Amino acid sequence: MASRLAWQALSLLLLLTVWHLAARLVPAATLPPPGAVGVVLVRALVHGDLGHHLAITLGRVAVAFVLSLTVGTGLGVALGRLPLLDRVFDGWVVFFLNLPALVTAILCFVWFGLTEGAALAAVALNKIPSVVVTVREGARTLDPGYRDLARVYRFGGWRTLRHVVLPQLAPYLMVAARSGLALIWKIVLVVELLGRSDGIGFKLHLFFQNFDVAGILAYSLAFILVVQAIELLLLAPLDRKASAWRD
Amino acid sequence: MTDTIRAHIERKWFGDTPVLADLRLEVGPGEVVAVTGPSGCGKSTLLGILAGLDRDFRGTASRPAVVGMVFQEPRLLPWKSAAANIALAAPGLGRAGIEAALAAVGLAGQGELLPRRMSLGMARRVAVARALAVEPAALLLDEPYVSLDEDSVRLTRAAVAAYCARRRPAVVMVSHTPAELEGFADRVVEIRPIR
Repeated sequence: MASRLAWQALSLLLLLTVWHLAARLVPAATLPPPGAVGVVLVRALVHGDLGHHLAITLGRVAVAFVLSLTVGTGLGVALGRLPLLDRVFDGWVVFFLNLPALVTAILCFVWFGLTEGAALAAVALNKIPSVVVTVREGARTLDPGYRDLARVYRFGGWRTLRHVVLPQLAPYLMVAARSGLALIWKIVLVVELLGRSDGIGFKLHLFFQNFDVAGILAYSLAFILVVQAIELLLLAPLDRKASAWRD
Repeated sequence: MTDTIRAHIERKWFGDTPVLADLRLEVGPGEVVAVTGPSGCGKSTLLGILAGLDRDFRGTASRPAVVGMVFQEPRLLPWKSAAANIALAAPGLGRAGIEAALAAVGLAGQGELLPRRMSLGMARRVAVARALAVEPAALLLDEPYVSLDEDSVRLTRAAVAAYCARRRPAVVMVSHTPAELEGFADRVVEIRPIR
Protein backbone atom coordinates (compact mmCIF):
# COMPACT_ATOMS: atom_id res chain seq x y z
CA MET A 1 0.00 0.00 0.00
CA ALA A 2 2.75 2.45 1.03
CA SER A 3 4.77 1.45 -2.02
CA ARG A 4 1.75 2.03 -4.27
CA LEU A 5 1.22 5.48 -2.79
CA ALA A 6 4.91 6.27 -3.29
CA TRP A 7 4.70 5.29 -6.96
CA GLN A 8 1.57 7.39 -7.42
CA ALA A 9 3.28 10.39 -5.81
CA LEU A 10 6.33 9.87 -8.03
CA SER A 11 4.13 9.61 -11.12
CA LEU A 12 2.33 12.84 -10.19
CA LEU A 13 5.65 14.59 -9.62
CA LEU A 14 6.83 13.44 -13.05
CA LEU A 15 3.66 14.85 -14.65
CA LEU A 16 4.14 18.20 -12.92
CA THR A 17 7.80 18.28 -14.04
CA VAL A 18 6.90 17.54 -17.67
CA TRP A 19 4.18 20.21 -17.48
CA HIS A 20 6.63 22.71 -15.96
CA LEU A 21 9.26 22.02 -18.65
CA ALA A 22 6.68 22.21 -21.44
CA ALA A 23 5.43 25.54 -20.05
CA ARG A 24 8.94 27.00 -20.41
CA LEU A 25 8.90 26.27 -24.14
CA VAL A 26 5.72 28.22 -24.94
CA PRO A 27 4.26 31.61 -23.93
CA ALA A 28 2.74 31.66 -20.42
CA ALA A 29 -0.65 32.64 -21.85
CA THR A 30 -0.70 29.40 -23.91
CA LEU A 31 0.43 27.06 -21.15
CA PRO A 32 1.00 28.56 -17.70
CA PRO A 33 3.29 26.56 -15.38
CA PRO A 34 1.79 24.45 -12.54
CA GLY A 35 2.75 27.04 -9.91
CA ALA A 36 0.86 29.83 -11.67
CA VAL A 37 -2.20 27.61 -12.11
CA GLY A 38 -1.97 26.70 -8.42
CA VAL A 39 -2.03 30.39 -7.47
CA VAL A 40 -5.11 31.00 -9.67
CA LEU A 41 -6.79 27.96 -8.11
CA VAL A 42 -6.19 29.05 -4.52
CA ARG A 43 -7.22 32.64 -5.30
CA ALA A 44 -10.44 31.45 -7.00
CA LEU A 45 -11.19 29.20 -4.06
CA VAL A 46 -10.55 31.78 -1.36
CA HIS A 47 -11.67 35.03 -2.99
CA GLY A 48 -13.47 33.91 -6.16
CA ASP A 49 -16.51 31.86 -7.12
CA LEU A 50 -14.84 28.46 -7.59
CA GLY A 51 -16.58 26.97 -4.53
CA HIS A 52 -19.99 28.15 -5.71
CA HIS A 53 -19.64 26.76 -9.25
CA LEU A 54 -18.01 23.58 -7.96
CA ALA A 55 -20.98 22.95 -5.67
CA ILE A 56 -23.45 23.60 -8.52
CA THR A 57 -21.68 21.15 -10.83
CA LEU A 58 -21.28 18.53 -8.09
CA GLY A 59 -25.00 18.78 -7.38
CA ARG A 60 -25.77 18.13 -11.05
CA VAL A 61 -23.32 15.22 -11.13
CA ALA A 62 -24.95 13.73 -8.02
CA VAL A 63 -28.52 14.00 -9.36
CA ALA A 64 -27.58 12.68 -12.81
CA PHE A 65 -25.55 9.87 -11.21
CA VAL A 66 -28.40 8.68 -8.99
CA LEU A 67 -30.91 9.03 -11.84
CA SER A 68 -28.73 7.09 -14.30
CA LEU A 69 -27.87 4.33 -11.85
CA THR A 70 -31.47 3.89 -10.67
CA VAL A 71 -33.14 3.89 -14.10
CA GLY A 72 -30.25 2.00 -15.75
CA THR A 73 -30.27 -0.70 -13.06
CA GLY A 74 -34.03 -1.19 -13.34
CA LEU A 75 -33.90 -1.44 -17.12
CA GLY A 76 -30.75 -3.61 -17.06
CA VAL A 77 -32.32 -6.12 -14.67
CA ALA A 78 -35.52 -6.21 -16.75
CA LEU A 79 -33.63 -6.79 -20.03
CA GLY A 80 -31.31 -9.33 -18.40
CA ARG A 81 -34.17 -11.37 -16.95
CA LEU A 82 -36.74 -11.11 -19.76
CA PRO A 83 -35.31 -12.37 -23.07
CA LEU A 84 -38.30 -11.14 -25.10
CA LEU A 85 -37.91 -7.60 -23.76
CA ASP A 86 -34.18 -7.80 -24.47
CA ARG A 87 -34.77 -8.87 -28.07
CA VAL A 88 -37.21 -5.98 -28.61
CA PHE A 89 -35.11 -3.25 -27.00
CA ASP A 90 -31.53 -4.36 -27.64
CA GLY A 91 -31.44 -2.21 -30.80
CA TRP A 92 -32.59 0.83 -28.80
CA VAL A 93 -29.80 0.29 -26.26
CA VAL A 94 -27.18 0.12 -29.03
CA PHE A 95 -28.65 3.25 -30.66
CA PHE A 96 -28.56 5.33 -27.46
CA LEU A 97 -25.14 3.91 -26.57
CA ASN A 98 -23.76 5.35 -29.78
CA LEU A 99 -25.53 8.71 -29.55
CA PRO A 100 -22.87 11.41 -28.87
CA ALA A 101 -23.31 13.36 -25.63
CA LEU A 102 -23.22 16.62 -27.58
CA VAL A 103 -26.17 15.58 -29.76
CA THR A 104 -28.27 14.55 -26.75
CA ALA A 105 -27.47 17.81 -24.96
CA ILE A 106 -28.36 19.96 -27.99
CA LEU A 107 -31.60 18.06 -28.62
CA CYS A 108 -32.67 18.21 -24.96
CA PHE A 109 -32.10 22.00 -24.86
CA VAL A 110 -33.95 22.47 -28.18
CA TRP A 111 -36.89 20.31 -27.12
CA PHE A 112 -37.19 21.25 -23.43
CA GLY A 113 -35.56 24.69 -23.31
CA LEU A 114 -32.45 25.84 -21.47
CA THR A 115 -33.67 24.42 -18.16
CA GLU A 116 -32.14 22.47 -15.30
CA GLY A 117 -34.39 19.50 -16.11
CA ALA A 118 -33.23 19.43 -19.71
CA ALA A 119 -29.59 19.53 -18.60
CA LEU A 120 -30.04 16.64 -16.15
CA ALA A 121 -32.07 14.64 -18.67
CA ALA A 122 -29.32 15.06 -21.27
CA VAL A 123 -26.67 13.74 -18.87
CA ALA A 124 -28.79 10.85 -17.65
CA LEU A 125 -29.82 9.84 -21.19
CA ASN A 126 -26.15 9.59 -22.09
CA LYS A 127 -25.19 7.43 -19.15
CA ILE A 128 -28.27 5.18 -18.78
CA PRO A 129 -27.47 2.94 -21.81
CA SER A 130 -24.03 2.00 -20.51
CA VAL A 131 -25.49 1.22 -17.06
CA VAL A 132 -28.15 -0.91 -18.78
CA VAL A 133 -25.52 -2.89 -20.70
CA THR A 134 -23.38 -3.52 -17.60
CA VAL A 135 -26.25 -4.45 -15.28
CA ARG A 136 -27.92 -6.57 -17.99
CA GLU A 137 -24.79 -8.74 -18.03
CA GLY A 138 -25.03 -9.11 -14.26
CA ALA A 139 -28.74 -9.93 -14.37
CA ARG A 140 -28.07 -12.69 -16.89
CA THR A 141 -25.69 -14.36 -14.44
CA LEU A 142 -28.12 -14.35 -11.47
CA ASP A 143 -28.11 -17.82 -9.96
CA PRO A 144 -31.54 -19.50 -10.34
CA GLY A 145 -30.66 -21.69 -7.34
CA TYR A 146 -30.73 -18.65 -5.06
CA ARG A 147 -34.04 -17.58 -6.60
CA ASP A 148 -35.46 -21.00 -5.65
CA LEU A 149 -34.03 -20.64 -2.16
CA ALA A 150 -35.76 -17.25 -1.78
CA ARG A 151 -39.05 -18.75 -2.94
CA VAL A 152 -38.94 -21.81 -0.66
CA TYR A 153 -38.12 -19.68 2.38
CA ARG A 154 -40.57 -16.95 1.34
CA PHE A 155 -38.11 -14.07 1.52
CA GLY A 156 -40.58 -11.83 -0.33
CA GLY A 157 -39.78 -9.21 -2.95
CA TRP A 158 -37.86 -6.64 -0.93
CA ARG A 159 -35.67 -9.11 1.04
CA THR A 160 -34.96 -11.08 -2.14
CA LEU A 161 -33.86 -7.89 -3.88
CA ARG A 162 -31.75 -6.71 -0.95
CA HIS A 163 -30.17 -9.95 0.22
CA VAL A 164 -30.14 -12.16 -2.88
CA VAL A 165 -30.24 -10.08 -6.07
CA LEU A 166 -28.22 -6.95 -5.20
CA PRO A 167 -25.23 -8.83 -3.71
CA GLN A 168 -24.98 -10.83 -6.95
CA LEU A 169 -25.23 -7.61 -8.97
CA ALA A 170 -22.80 -5.70 -6.73
CA PRO A 171 -19.67 -6.14 -8.92
CA TYR A 172 -21.61 -4.97 -11.98
CA LEU A 173 -23.17 -2.06 -10.09
CA MET A 174 -19.73 -0.99 -8.88
CA VAL A 175 -18.37 -1.04 -12.45
CA ALA A 176 -21.39 1.00 -13.57
CA ALA A 177 -20.96 3.44 -10.66
CA ARG A 178 -17.22 3.99 -11.08
CA SER A 179 -17.31 4.33 -14.86
CA GLY A 180 -20.49 6.37 -14.42
CA LEU A 181 -18.84 8.96 -12.22
CA ALA A 182 -15.90 9.23 -14.63
CA LEU A 183 -18.24 9.80 -17.58
CA ILE A 184 -21.02 11.83 -16.00
CA TRP A 185 -18.92 14.73 -14.77
CA LYS A 186 -17.46 15.19 -18.24
CA ILE A 187 -20.92 15.24 -19.83
CA VAL A 188 -22.15 17.67 -17.15
CA LEU A 189 -19.39 20.10 -18.17
CA VAL A 190 -20.47 19.89 -21.84
CA VAL A 191 -24.11 20.46 -20.89
CA GLU A 192 -23.19 23.42 -18.66
CA LEU A 193 -21.06 24.90 -21.39
CA LEU A 194 -23.93 24.66 -23.86
CA GLY A 195 -26.94 25.74 -21.86
CA ARG A 196 -26.42 26.75 -18.22
CA SER A 197 -25.40 30.02 -16.60
CA ASP A 198 -23.51 28.47 -13.70
CA GLY A 199 -21.27 25.51 -12.93
CA ILE A 200 -17.71 24.65 -13.90
CA GLY A 201 -18.66 24.09 -17.56
CA PHE A 202 -20.17 27.58 -17.75
CA LYS A 203 -17.00 29.07 -16.22
CA LEU A 204 -14.82 27.13 -18.69
CA HIS A 205 -16.86 28.69 -21.48
CA LEU A 206 -16.15 32.19 -20.11
CA PHE A 207 -12.43 31.41 -19.73
CA PHE A 208 -12.36 30.11 -23.31
CA GLN A 209 -13.92 33.34 -24.61
CA ASN A 210 -11.18 35.32 -22.79
CA PHE A 211 -8.41 32.84 -23.77
CA ASP A 212 -7.71 32.44 -20.05
CA VAL A 213 -5.82 29.11 -20.05
CA ALA A 214 -4.79 29.43 -16.38
CA GLY A 215 -8.46 29.75 -15.41
CA ILE A 216 -9.42 26.77 -17.56
CA LEU A 217 -6.70 24.62 -16.00
CA ALA A 218 -7.37 25.81 -12.42
CA TYR A 219 -11.13 25.15 -12.54
CA SER A 220 -10.65 21.82 -14.35
CA LEU A 221 -7.98 20.75 -11.88
CA ALA A 222 -10.17 21.61 -8.90
CA PHE A 223 -12.98 19.49 -10.28
CA ILE A 224 -10.69 16.57 -11.17
CA LEU A 225 -9.37 16.60 -7.59
CA VAL A 226 -12.88 16.53 -6.13
CA VAL A 227 -13.98 13.68 -8.41
CA GLN A 228 -10.82 11.74 -7.54
CA ALA A 229 -11.56 12.29 -3.85
CA ILE A 230 -15.10 10.93 -4.33
CA GLU A 231 -13.65 7.89 -6.12
CA LEU A 232 -11.00 7.25 -3.47
CA LEU A 233 -13.00 8.08 -0.34
CA LEU A 234 -16.46 6.83 -1.32
CA LEU A 235 -16.60 4.46 -4.29
CA ALA A 236 -13.38 2.49 -3.71
CA PRO A 237 -14.20 1.72 -0.03
CA LEU A 238 -17.78 0.84 -1.04
CA ASP A 239 -16.39 -1.57 -3.65
CA ARG A 240 -14.08 -3.13 -1.07
CA LYS A 241 -16.95 -3.52 1.39
CA ALA A 242 -19.25 -5.10 -1.21
CA SER A 243 -16.63 -7.68 -2.18
CA ALA A 244 -15.17 -8.32 1.30
CA TRP A 245 -16.88 -11.72 1.56
CA ARG A 246 -14.75 -13.01 -1.33
CA ASP A 247 -11.46 -12.48 0.59
CA MET B 1 -54.08 -24.57 5.03
CA THR B 2 -53.13 -28.23 4.63
CA ASP B 3 -50.53 -29.96 6.77
CA THR B 4 -50.14 -32.72 4.20
CA ILE B 5 -47.99 -32.93 1.09
CA ARG B 6 -50.11 -34.07 -1.85
CA ALA B 7 -49.10 -34.53 -5.47
CA HIS B 8 -50.55 -36.16 -8.52
CA ILE B 9 -48.10 -35.78 -11.35
CA GLU B 10 -49.65 -36.97 -14.59
CA ARG B 11 -46.67 -36.00 -16.71
CA LYS B 12 -43.50 -33.98 -16.33
CA TRP B 13 -41.27 -33.34 -19.32
CA PHE B 14 -37.88 -31.78 -19.87
CA GLY B 15 -38.27 -30.63 -23.46
CA ASP B 16 -39.49 -33.69 -25.35
CA THR B 17 -38.24 -36.13 -22.72
CA PRO B 18 -40.78 -37.39 -20.16
CA VAL B 19 -39.27 -37.51 -16.67
CA LEU B 20 -42.13 -38.37 -14.33
CA ALA B 21 -45.43 -40.03 -15.18
CA ASP B 22 -48.54 -40.94 -13.24
CA LEU B 23 -47.04 -40.45 -9.81
CA ARG B 24 -49.26 -40.04 -6.77
CA LEU B 25 -47.86 -39.11 -3.40
CA GLU B 26 -49.48 -38.18 -0.12
CA VAL B 27 -47.44 -37.56 2.99
CA GLY B 28 -49.23 -36.69 6.20
CA PRO B 29 -47.98 -35.06 9.41
CA GLY B 30 -45.39 -37.17 11.20
CA GLU B 31 -44.88 -39.36 8.17
CA VAL B 32 -41.50 -39.85 6.51
CA VAL B 33 -41.41 -40.96 2.88
CA ALA B 34 -38.14 -41.83 1.20
CA VAL B 35 -37.80 -41.46 -2.56
CA THR B 36 -35.19 -43.62 -4.22
CA GLY B 37 -34.22 -44.49 -7.75
CA PRO B 38 -31.26 -44.34 -10.10
CA SER B 39 -29.52 -41.08 -11.00
CA GLY B 40 -31.47 -38.93 -13.42
CA CYS B 41 -34.82 -40.62 -12.79
CA GLY B 42 -36.43 -37.38 -11.57
CA LYS B 43 -36.07 -37.52 -7.78
CA SER B 44 -34.87 -33.91 -7.43
CA THR B 45 -37.44 -32.84 -10.02
CA LEU B 46 -40.12 -34.38 -7.83
CA LEU B 47 -38.85 -32.45 -4.79
CA GLY B 48 -38.90 -29.23 -6.86
CA ILE B 49 -42.55 -29.89 -7.72
CA LEU B 50 -43.43 -30.71 -4.11
CA ALA B 51 -41.72 -27.49 -2.96
CA GLY B 52 -43.73 -25.46 -5.47
CA LEU B 53 -40.60 -24.38 -7.36
CA ASP B 54 -41.49 -26.24 -10.53
CA ARG B 55 -44.99 -25.61 -11.82
CA ASP B 56 -44.29 -26.71 -15.37
CA PHE B 57 -45.99 -30.13 -15.22
CA ARG B 58 -49.38 -31.69 -15.81
CA GLY B 59 -51.12 -32.52 -12.56
CA THR B 60 -51.55 -31.01 -9.12
CA ALA B 61 -49.39 -30.50 -6.06
CA SER B 62 -50.07 -28.90 -2.70
CA ARG B 63 -48.07 -28.48 0.45
CA PRO B 64 -48.19 -26.80 3.88
CA ALA B 65 -47.46 -23.08 3.98
CA VAL B 66 -44.13 -23.40 5.76
CA VAL B 67 -41.64 -25.61 3.97
CA GLY B 68 -38.06 -26.38 4.96
CA MET B 69 -35.87 -27.64 2.17
CA VAL B 70 -32.34 -28.96 2.08
CA PHE B 71 -31.14 -28.74 -1.51
CA GLN B 72 -28.70 -31.19 -3.05
CA GLU B 73 -25.90 -28.66 -2.50
CA PRO B 74 -25.97 -26.51 0.69
CA ARG B 75 -26.98 -23.40 -1.24
CA LEU B 76 -25.95 -20.92 1.44
CA LEU B 77 -25.68 -17.30 0.35
CA PRO B 78 -21.88 -16.91 0.19
CA TRP B 79 -21.95 -13.23 1.23
CA LYS B 80 -23.76 -14.04 4.47
CA SER B 81 -22.47 -15.75 7.59
CA ALA B 82 -23.95 -19.02 8.84
CA ALA B 83 -26.08 -17.12 11.35
CA ALA B 84 -27.22 -14.55 8.77
CA ASN B 85 -28.20 -17.32 6.34
CA ILE B 86 -30.45 -18.81 9.01
CA ALA B 87 -31.76 -15.40 10.13
CA LEU B 88 -32.80 -14.56 6.58
CA ALA B 89 -34.95 -17.69 6.34
CA ALA B 90 -36.26 -17.40 9.91
CA PRO B 91 -36.32 -13.64 10.70
CA GLY B 92 -38.27 -14.03 13.93
CA LEU B 93 -35.83 -16.46 15.48
CA GLY B 94 -33.55 -14.01 17.30
CA ARG B 95 -29.91 -14.45 18.22
CA ALA B 96 -30.50 -17.15 20.86
CA GLY B 97 -32.73 -19.14 18.51
CA ILE B 98 -30.12 -19.05 15.76
CA GLU B 99 -27.40 -20.14 18.17
CA ALA B 100 -29.65 -23.02 19.31
CA ALA B 101 -30.31 -24.02 15.68
CA LEU B 102 -26.58 -24.13 15.01
CA ALA B 103 -25.87 -25.98 18.25
CA ALA B 104 -28.42 -28.63 17.24
CA VAL B 105 -26.22 -29.54 14.26
CA GLY B 106 -22.97 -29.34 16.23
CA LEU B 107 -21.99 -25.85 15.15
CA ALA B 108 -22.31 -23.93 18.39
CA GLY B 109 -20.32 -20.68 18.29
CA GLN B 110 -19.70 -20.92 14.53
CA GLY B 111 -22.39 -18.43 13.51
CA GLU B 112 -20.01 -15.81 12.15
CA LEU B 113 -18.34 -18.19 9.69
CA LEU B 114 -18.78 -17.37 6.00
CA PRO B 115 -19.68 -20.30 3.73
CA ARG B 116 -16.33 -20.18 1.93
CA ARG B 117 -14.59 -20.85 5.24
CA MET B 118 -16.73 -23.95 5.88
CA SER B 119 -16.15 -27.53 4.84
CA LEU B 120 -18.89 -29.17 2.79
CA GLY B 121 -20.02 -31.01 5.91
CA MET B 122 -20.34 -27.80 7.91
CA ALA B 123 -22.17 -26.03 5.08
CA ARG B 124 -24.65 -28.90 4.80
CA ARG B 125 -25.24 -28.82 8.53
CA VAL B 126 -25.97 -25.09 8.34
CA ALA B 127 -28.40 -25.82 5.47
CA VAL B 128 -30.16 -28.39 7.67
CA ALA B 129 -30.20 -25.95 10.60
CA ARG B 130 -31.78 -23.34 8.31
CA ALA B 131 -34.44 -25.79 7.11
CA LEU B 132 -35.37 -26.74 10.68
CA ALA B 133 -35.19 -23.14 11.98
CA VAL B 134 -38.27 -22.11 9.99
CA GLU B 135 -40.27 -24.71 11.97
CA PRO B 136 -41.58 -26.31 8.78
CA ALA B 137 -44.74 -28.38 8.52
CA ALA B 138 -43.19 -29.99 5.43
CA LEU B 139 -39.54 -30.98 5.25
CA LEU B 140 -37.98 -31.79 1.88
CA LEU B 141 -34.50 -33.29 1.98
CA ASP B 142 -32.52 -33.87 -1.20
CA GLU B 143 -29.76 -36.35 -0.38
CA PRO B 144 -28.83 -34.46 2.78
CA TYR B 145 -26.12 -36.92 3.85
CA VAL B 146 -24.29 -37.44 0.57
CA SER B 147 -20.49 -36.90 0.68
CA LEU B 148 -20.55 -36.15 4.40
CA ASP B 149 -18.13 -37.50 6.97
CA GLU B 150 -19.46 -39.83 9.66
CA ASP B 151 -19.70 -37.12 12.33
CA SER B 152 -21.64 -34.78 10.09
CA VAL B 153 -24.07 -37.58 9.13
CA ARG B 154 -24.63 -38.48 12.76
CA LEU B 155 -25.20 -34.87 13.87
CA THR B 156 -27.45 -34.03 10.94
CA ARG B 157 -29.56 -37.17 11.34
CA ALA B 158 -29.92 -36.55 15.06
CA ALA B 159 -31.05 -32.94 14.47
CA VAL B 160 -33.61 -33.98 11.83
CA ALA B 161 -34.88 -36.89 13.97
CA ALA B 162 -35.23 -34.63 17.03
CA TYR B 163 -37.19 -32.06 15.05
CA CYS B 164 -39.45 -34.76 13.52
CA ALA B 165 -40.17 -36.20 16.97
CA ARG B 166 -41.02 -32.75 18.33
CA ARG B 167 -43.02 -31.17 15.48
CA ARG B 168 -44.12 -34.17 13.38
CA PRO B 169 -43.73 -32.56 9.93
CA ALA B 170 -44.51 -34.33 6.65
CA VAL B 171 -41.08 -35.39 5.38
CA VAL B 172 -39.95 -36.39 1.91
CA MET B 173 -36.33 -37.43 1.63
CA VAL B 174 -34.50 -38.32 -1.55
CA SER B 175 -31.74 -40.85 -1.10
CA HIS B 176 -29.61 -43.26 -3.09
CA THR B 177 -28.55 -45.23 -0.06
CA PRO B 178 -30.97 -47.73 1.57
CA ALA B 179 -28.87 -47.71 4.76
CA GLU B 180 -29.71 -44.03 5.26
CA LEU B 181 -33.42 -44.84 5.35
CA GLU B 182 -33.37 -47.66 7.88
CA GLY B 183 -35.23 -46.73 11.01
CA PHE B 184 -36.16 -43.33 9.57
CA ALA B 185 -38.51 -43.75 6.62
CA ASP B 186 -42.04 -45.07 7.07
CA ARG B 187 -42.43 -45.72 3.36
CA VAL B 188 -40.15 -45.94 0.38
CA VAL B 189 -41.24 -44.76 -3.06
CA GLU B 190 -39.06 -45.99 -5.87
CA ILE B 191 -38.98 -43.99 -9.06
CA ARG B 192 -38.07 -45.87 -12.21
CA PRO B 193 -36.81 -44.12 -15.33
CA ILE B 194 -39.46 -43.78 -18.04
CA ARG B 195 -38.55 -45.73 -21.13
